[in-house]
Amino acid sequence: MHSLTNLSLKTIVKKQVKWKIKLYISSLSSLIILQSIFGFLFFSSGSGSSGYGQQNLDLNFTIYSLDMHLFLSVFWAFISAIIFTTRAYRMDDLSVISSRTSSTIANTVIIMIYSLIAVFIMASTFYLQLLAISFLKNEPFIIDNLIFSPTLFMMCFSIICLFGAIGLLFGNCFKGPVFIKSLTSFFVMFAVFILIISPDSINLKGLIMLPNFMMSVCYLSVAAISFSLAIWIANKSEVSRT
Amino acid sequence: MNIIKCEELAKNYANHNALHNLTCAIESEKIIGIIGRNGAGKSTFLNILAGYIKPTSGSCSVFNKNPFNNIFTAANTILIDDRLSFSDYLTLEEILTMGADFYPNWQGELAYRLLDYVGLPLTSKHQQLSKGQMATFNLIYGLVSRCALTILDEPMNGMDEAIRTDFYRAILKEYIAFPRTFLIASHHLAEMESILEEILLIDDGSVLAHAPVEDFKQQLIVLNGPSDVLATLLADKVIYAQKDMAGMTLAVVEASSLVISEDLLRTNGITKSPLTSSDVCMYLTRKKGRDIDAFFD
Amino acid sequence: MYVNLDSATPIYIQIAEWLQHEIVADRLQTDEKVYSQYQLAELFNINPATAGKGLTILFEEQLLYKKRGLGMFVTIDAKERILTKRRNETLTKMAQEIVIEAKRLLVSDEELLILIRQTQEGLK
Repeated sequence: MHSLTNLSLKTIVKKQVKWKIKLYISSLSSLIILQSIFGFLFFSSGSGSSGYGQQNLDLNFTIYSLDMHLFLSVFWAFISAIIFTTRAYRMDDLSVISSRTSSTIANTVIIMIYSLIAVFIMASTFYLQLLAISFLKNEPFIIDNLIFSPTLFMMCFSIICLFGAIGLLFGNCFKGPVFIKSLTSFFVMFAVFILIISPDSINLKGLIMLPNFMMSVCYLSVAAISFSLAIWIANKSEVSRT
Repeated sequence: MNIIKCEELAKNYANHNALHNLTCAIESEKIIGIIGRNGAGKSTFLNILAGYIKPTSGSCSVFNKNPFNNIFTAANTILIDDRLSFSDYLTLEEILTMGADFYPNWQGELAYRLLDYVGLPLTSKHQQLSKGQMATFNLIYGLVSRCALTILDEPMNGMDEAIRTDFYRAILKEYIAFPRTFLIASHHLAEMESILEEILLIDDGSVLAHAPVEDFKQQLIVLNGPSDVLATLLADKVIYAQKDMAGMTLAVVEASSLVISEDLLRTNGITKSPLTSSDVCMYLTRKKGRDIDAFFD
Repeated sequence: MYVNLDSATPIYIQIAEWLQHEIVADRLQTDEKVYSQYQLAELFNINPATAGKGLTILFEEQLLYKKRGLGMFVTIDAKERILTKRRNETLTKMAQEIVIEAKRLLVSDEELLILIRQTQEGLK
């Protein structure tokens, strides 16, 4: 008898990442398009404006900040991660050596790499927008986060990564065993219930907007937990072809 | 050596039980036909072997390991069916490159030659292939991956007859060149029978028969003789099918239940004839007391 | 080359018969290596195990002998044995069938013998 092939999980994941990174590239181009469209839409208005008038003095300025771009990237990461768990993508995994576990680990790696790339895309569209504004407009404006500090970079990366992780977890939940599905639905219903009872108890925007190093670490930890949960669920999941 | 061992395998879904008490052992390096009616549980069984789904109860081992979500068994198993899909961004050539990257025993040259033979251009996309072409490509993909356990679920669906004949031969030649275990589920038993070593008949979620092709065939026989003589001879036997015509009776019975010498049969004017494997499958799996004629009377 | 799948004769017996035919026709001679089960499988488009069963039949009837690691070879008196066997078994069986059929058709013993003589004359 021919000897059996013995490939480690690591080797398989590496190979899967290698191919997925090429095959999922369209999600990155969709981010570029998204960022450009929004950059153009907010070209004139910025993400906020302030007017201040006192007697003869009238001051009007527009604030340009990274917030809008970050919002967009986070939203994109969440949706992309969910898309990676959809049927078409899962079916493609079955045509090569893979298990649900290896595929989810590979997706985790892809989401992390793409989050990193997303930060660069985000930063460049943001600077391009600023460049265009400074050349074409003659209005006073305020730029928030002009300098992309390592902490800011880390913060952007961690939050995009976090939402990617949540997306992956969310997508995986609905392919998992029944008890995980029921647990997820219970959790979602519970969250909705809380939001209805006291909408002020969760201040998501405030949480996202905290740009400090500690927050990044916090986001990354939650992302790591979400990734691990997603992989754990995948390890228990059957292939569902519906 | 057994490569597959299943004990009392059961798989229950919300509204039906796909498998119950399926027990079987499959030796390595054989070509085995997995036969059964629609909905008998063939695909469920094959999906369990491929590690795609988890049995509700019972045990299943492939290469002495539980195949469910197992990367070792996954690396040595390939399941080819009509749901096999590849990314829209890949051409056939790129798919082959990807296969070569994953499967250590990959036969790239053979893949190119076979694609050329069936006239599939390397630049086409998988999604754009016709049903028959897609089945052909999938089968080629499965053959050249040379996995120790190659599972083909209805591999010839949609392929025209000429290609089917060619590819049964291709399977046989690949098997001789690189012996491995082939499980082929198909409704076309007659056309693939000659390349099979064993037949595993699944009915109603469990194994109804598992034997070398010839033994499988010979388990049922047709007796043809005077009605009165046959009636007494078969009084306490299980009769799978019976047809009476002008004092003569045709009856399908189990060969082992018939302990009577050839000479005695002959002197009584009874002739014994064999059945084709397809017929044996049909009679074995036919639900008792159901006859399509009854619905038209 | 294809075997007759619809025939009542099992494939491995058809293979055994074909090999015997080759020996009788001197296409396989004494001490010559016969086809391996894989060659037969390719030749007839059948499973190698089935082909192996055909070879085993001949081996058990001592028409073939094994050389370790080299394959199967035709034994020295294989042709003789086959011919004798055919004479004994096949011909006897045919004779039996003729007699039974003749009885069914109410042909008397003398008539049957005359028929056989005439057939022999006719073929000479």
